[in-house]
Amino acid sequence: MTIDKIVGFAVRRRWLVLAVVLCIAILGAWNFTRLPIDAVPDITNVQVQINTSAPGYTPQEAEQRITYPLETSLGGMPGLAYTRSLSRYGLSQVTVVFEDGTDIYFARQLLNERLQEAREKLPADAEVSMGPVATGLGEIFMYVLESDAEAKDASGIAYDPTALRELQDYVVKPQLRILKGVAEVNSIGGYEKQYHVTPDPGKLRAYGLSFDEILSALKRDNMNLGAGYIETSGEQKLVRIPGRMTDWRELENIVVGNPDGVPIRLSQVAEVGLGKELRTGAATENGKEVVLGTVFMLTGENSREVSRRVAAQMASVQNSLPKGVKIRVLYDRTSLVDRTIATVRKNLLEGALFVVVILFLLLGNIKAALATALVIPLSMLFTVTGMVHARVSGNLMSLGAIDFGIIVDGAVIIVENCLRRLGEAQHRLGILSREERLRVVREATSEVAKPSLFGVFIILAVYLPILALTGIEGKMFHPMAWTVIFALLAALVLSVTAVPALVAVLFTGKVAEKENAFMRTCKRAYRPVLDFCLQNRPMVAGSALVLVLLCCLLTTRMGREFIPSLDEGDIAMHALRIPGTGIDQSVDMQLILEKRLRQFPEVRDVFGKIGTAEIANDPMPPNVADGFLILKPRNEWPDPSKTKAELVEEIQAAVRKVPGNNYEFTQPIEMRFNELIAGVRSDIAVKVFGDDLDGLMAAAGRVEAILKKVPGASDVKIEQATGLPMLSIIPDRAALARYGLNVAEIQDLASIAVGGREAGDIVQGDRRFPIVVRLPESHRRDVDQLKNLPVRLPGNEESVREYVPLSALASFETNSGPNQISRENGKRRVVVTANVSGRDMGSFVDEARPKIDAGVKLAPGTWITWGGQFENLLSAAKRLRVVVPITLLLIFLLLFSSLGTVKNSLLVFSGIPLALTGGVIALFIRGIPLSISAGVGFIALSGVAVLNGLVMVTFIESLRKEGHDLDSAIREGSLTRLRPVLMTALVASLGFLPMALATGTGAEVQKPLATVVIGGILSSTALTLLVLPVLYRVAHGRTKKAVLG
Amino acid sequence: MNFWKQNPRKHLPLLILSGVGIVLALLILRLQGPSAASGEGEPVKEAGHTEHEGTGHSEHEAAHEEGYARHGTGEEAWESVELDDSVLAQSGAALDTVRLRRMAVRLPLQGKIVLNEERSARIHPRFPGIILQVKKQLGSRVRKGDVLAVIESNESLQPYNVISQMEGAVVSRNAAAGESVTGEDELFVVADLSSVWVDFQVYRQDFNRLRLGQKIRVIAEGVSPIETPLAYLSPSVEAHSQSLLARVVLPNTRGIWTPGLFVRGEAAVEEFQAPAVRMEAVQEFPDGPVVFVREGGGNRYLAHRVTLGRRDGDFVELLSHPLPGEPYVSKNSFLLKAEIGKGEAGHDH
Repeated sequence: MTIDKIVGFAVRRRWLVLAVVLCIAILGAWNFTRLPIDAVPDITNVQVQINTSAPGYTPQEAEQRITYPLETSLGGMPGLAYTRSLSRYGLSQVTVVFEDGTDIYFARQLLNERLQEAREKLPADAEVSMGPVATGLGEIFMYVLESDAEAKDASGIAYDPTALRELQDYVVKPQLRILKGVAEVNSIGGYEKQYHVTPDPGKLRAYGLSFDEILSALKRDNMNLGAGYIETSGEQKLVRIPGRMTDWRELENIVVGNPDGVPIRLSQVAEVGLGKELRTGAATENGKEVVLGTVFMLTGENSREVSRRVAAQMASVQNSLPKGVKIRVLYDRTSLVDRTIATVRKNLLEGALFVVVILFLLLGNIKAALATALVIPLSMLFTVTGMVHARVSGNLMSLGAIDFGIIVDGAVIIVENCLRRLGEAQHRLGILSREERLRVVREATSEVAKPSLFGVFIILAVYLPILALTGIEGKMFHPMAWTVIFALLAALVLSVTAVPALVAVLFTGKVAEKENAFMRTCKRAYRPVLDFCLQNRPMVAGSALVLVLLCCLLTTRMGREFIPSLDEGDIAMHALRIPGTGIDQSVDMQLILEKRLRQFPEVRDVFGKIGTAEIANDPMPPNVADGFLILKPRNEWPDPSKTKAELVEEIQAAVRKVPGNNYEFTQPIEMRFNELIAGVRSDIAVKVFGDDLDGLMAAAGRVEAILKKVPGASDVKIEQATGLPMLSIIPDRAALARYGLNVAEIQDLASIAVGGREAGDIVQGDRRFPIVVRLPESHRRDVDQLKNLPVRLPGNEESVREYVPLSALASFETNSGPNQISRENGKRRVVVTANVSGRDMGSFVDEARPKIDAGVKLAPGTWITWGGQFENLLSAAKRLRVVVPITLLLIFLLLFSSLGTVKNSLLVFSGIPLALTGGVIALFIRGIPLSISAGVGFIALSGVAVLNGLVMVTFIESLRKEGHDLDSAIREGSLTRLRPVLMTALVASLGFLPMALATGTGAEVQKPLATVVIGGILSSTALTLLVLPVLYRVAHGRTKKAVLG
Repeated sequence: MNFWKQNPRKHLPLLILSGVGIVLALLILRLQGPSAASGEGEPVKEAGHTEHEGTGHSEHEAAHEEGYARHGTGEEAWESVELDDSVLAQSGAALDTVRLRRMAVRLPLQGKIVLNEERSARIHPRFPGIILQVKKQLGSRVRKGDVLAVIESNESLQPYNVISQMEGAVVSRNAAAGESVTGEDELFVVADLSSVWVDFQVYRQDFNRLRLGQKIRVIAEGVSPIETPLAYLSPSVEAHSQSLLARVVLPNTRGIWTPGLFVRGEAAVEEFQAPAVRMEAVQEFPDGPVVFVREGGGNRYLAHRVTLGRRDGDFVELLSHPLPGEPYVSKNSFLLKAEIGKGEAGHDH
């Protein structure tokens, strides 16, 4: 057999094998430095955001003029999964989601081609850009710029948010953007520096001017021109006609009109000065307004390294800032990653230590224990190489899922057998010669290689269903499955190569092989219990059955959650205000909130982003604030034993008293994932598609009413699609016609007056600041003033310019309009979301669907689809329904090929439900809800349980073949196999013990998994040792009778 | 049964086993639903979840009992909200009481200072001729009977004096010695600038808001405003801009209102006394404007539906309750609107 040949080679060429292993280990160590490390797996789908800024556009305009043409140009792209879009004030965002596995750069390239074509259909003032190449894990670093109160710039002016923003855009950002691994730096807060020309409407009227003249004068008088070159005396001179202004004060002298030869300068009709942009976003920190920068990491980079690089760059950035302006780091991913990795490392080290101790206790030989334990670091290094090549990142889920106990199982069996055989050989022959030793090792390894390989194969097989998961679950658990598979494969290879080679090298001289006190005590205790069980077979079998049934019942009473989330150590707090809340109002409310939050002694920093940042990767309206609470290290808390959940509860209670805000608590990374992955985060989403927004809202309203009445519905919410207060200036066409005006003139006037219009820019070095013409703030804010805005009437040049007020040409209405327009796959939609509590989602949907079909009358062209988490769960369940039976069949086939009979295979199989009982009980006792993490634990558990049973049944069978009768074979077999069964079980469960008890960052994600495995292995060991012999006796006893009878 | 009779004692343990099993099963079934199992060690998400599914819900209900109890009589139901004074003060909100105010509705006007045509004279030569001498310069003060220029008549070839018939100043001079002039030519404009006219343009929609005698405030840059009654409303409309001429006479003894100057005007269209609140206090609700009124000196504020009347600057007239004397939130009232509406505040992506 080939395994024999491999083993033979490994023992013969042991030094070569060990040298190769060492080389591979060194390769692994090198790869370890290349392994991308993050706290959690990246669950973002392959998506590209197309952000289009359209200053001044209302949601409807943004949708009709930008979103729609963009969406229609995207159809038919290869790999396109779906599109969704959002049209808000001044912004259109189309998110294009590609099928998993699409190369992001390929996708962007495709998209870019489409965008080239689409750009022609868009309005000229729309700026289309693709979002940064970053995923939900991308926001790795956040900092603020703040200034001392007494800090002054060269001209003696204090640094206000506008000045800070200028520093951010032109000093800080360029230094960070060039760093390796940084995709983009996003700014929010402060005001983009603008020069404002604010004409007084009364004066314009007095001088017979209008906005047009001002705009054209500004454009005309602020231009540089090159005029070719001249050649004089053989020398070439370039001709340059500079006209650009570098100082805003020059603007005041621009001539805007020249009636009767008297120049009218800009300063006569308008104020010129620094102004504030109509911003869509703001940032706050610890109760004051600041400028906040966020560094995005490029997809696939190592977040720890990139954030370290950024942190290192911060020092030189600080040196380049003027005195009194400070850059302060608020959020640095390194600390979270380090904390998480520290937890994983601690768990792995302690687990490994436990494994070594157990091996030593049970084998009674330190060399054997070390040889076995050496498999741990070696397989680890091999795994890292595999992970680097398979592009699996090292994180809590992947590295944290490795149970060294399970990995060394194969090696344990081999080393144990070698040890036993070497001991026996020494008893017979005394000290062995080298040839004898090598032969014994080779034989001992070959003897157990097959069952141990089978065992590993079975454990590998049970991880297959995990690879079948798709969507978020898939992205979450694939890294884990791959890592475990790599580790098991590495251990598998090692156990037939390096392990026998090591044993051959190490076990020179006398081999201590004797049963130690621990094993003797175990055996002494085991024998009477086994006898008792064998005598009370119906009782034991019945108890096991009852136990399984009770546990099934218990699972129905346990809590459920999707995936336990990593405690990131920081808190993200959405503060939500009613639609229509102004940005400045929102900032004021956020500042009050932050002052309250600052009072918590556990909080180090609190900061917030309000509205939409420069790069609209997370377009929020001004009424929503993303707040971040960075907590102090736990030992600085007044009460370090306070749990984070308790703290969050206290915070909730406190902020509830701050008026005007609604809150959602989550965590920074989690929040980004939620924002990026799906429009819908709830269990159930009923999407109403159609054209007419009012009709959609009405239909959605009826859906909401019906859903609320379905038992089990909670948090039924309708998308906030309307409710944005609007001032409509509706041109009166009849009046316009009377005065000889057209609609565009009114629109132009109103949009310049209120929103402003750019008229060139002032360039100072790299920095360019737009010149904006708009009404003075006092006029803009007051609707009555707007109504009186003078509109110049057309007339011949000589006649006196006549004006009428705007109110004579248009009516003013305040009403509420669409807040945002969401679209999916090119169609408008309004979503009603609901969570389901107290019943399963499937039955809820089955009940609600006909009710809605009957109760909601849909206008032609309107339709309803169902989505939400339940869809994912259903698809996952569907897949698992296919994959799990296949896996079970696979295991059964493996068992069958090993054991040869259906009956024995079934017997070993019975270990699975019995093992699961322990896992369920352990979860219940610790109060941990069922989750996919726990499910993965059950999967790993089934493998170990089967392995134990296999070992036991194989041995009993071989004893019977040697001629033992049934009863004595069972007794003898069980007693002899006590050691390996105990050993595999103990190392597997103790290997996970640190993980189950850990409290560090990330422990909560690993806890369910570890708890299930430990509980399950304890029960499965007990059941393998006690129930399996009984079942074997029952099954084979009856056959015997049948044969005899 | 035979089976049982054979060896009842052998089956006793099995019976006990099934009994224990059933008892345990019942115990398990009596456990509360899924939520009972979620306990210690739950990460924040779970806490957040609980807020939404558990406490969040009950908070909402509690809020309905305490915070947002609905008020009003009959079919109307008004929201109210409870806020501590300290919270209000922190948030920059302020209270005021509804007061009777003297108010005026002002109509803004645009106008231009022109000569008071009743007090100015455009002086033409009596006979065509050649100007021999110009005696007054632009800006010279003249008295009645002063000679402005001397012209030699083309007919008689005799010089005659052009005399000012009124006191005032020369505001326009179109005469130079040696010039040949006819009766058509306007040589001088002499105006008495101690009073000027202001011609305002009144647009269609405001025609019937103006009455003769209404006080009009004339405002110009760098001059203290002055109030003066409306003296003249033209009976016909200017065709091009469809506007009316409204005129006031402005005393100008100090000479600060120079003709040609553009000025603004405010006509006090209506003057009255009424209960009024600050404009800032008014918030728009879907069914109309509201003012937040403090109830009975407590911490409860009622979103009081109001009917708004006329506006004067920062104040607006109330045509319905609340009555004068009632305390209302005059500053940052948006906060209360936000508090009432926060239940529907959501964040969708």
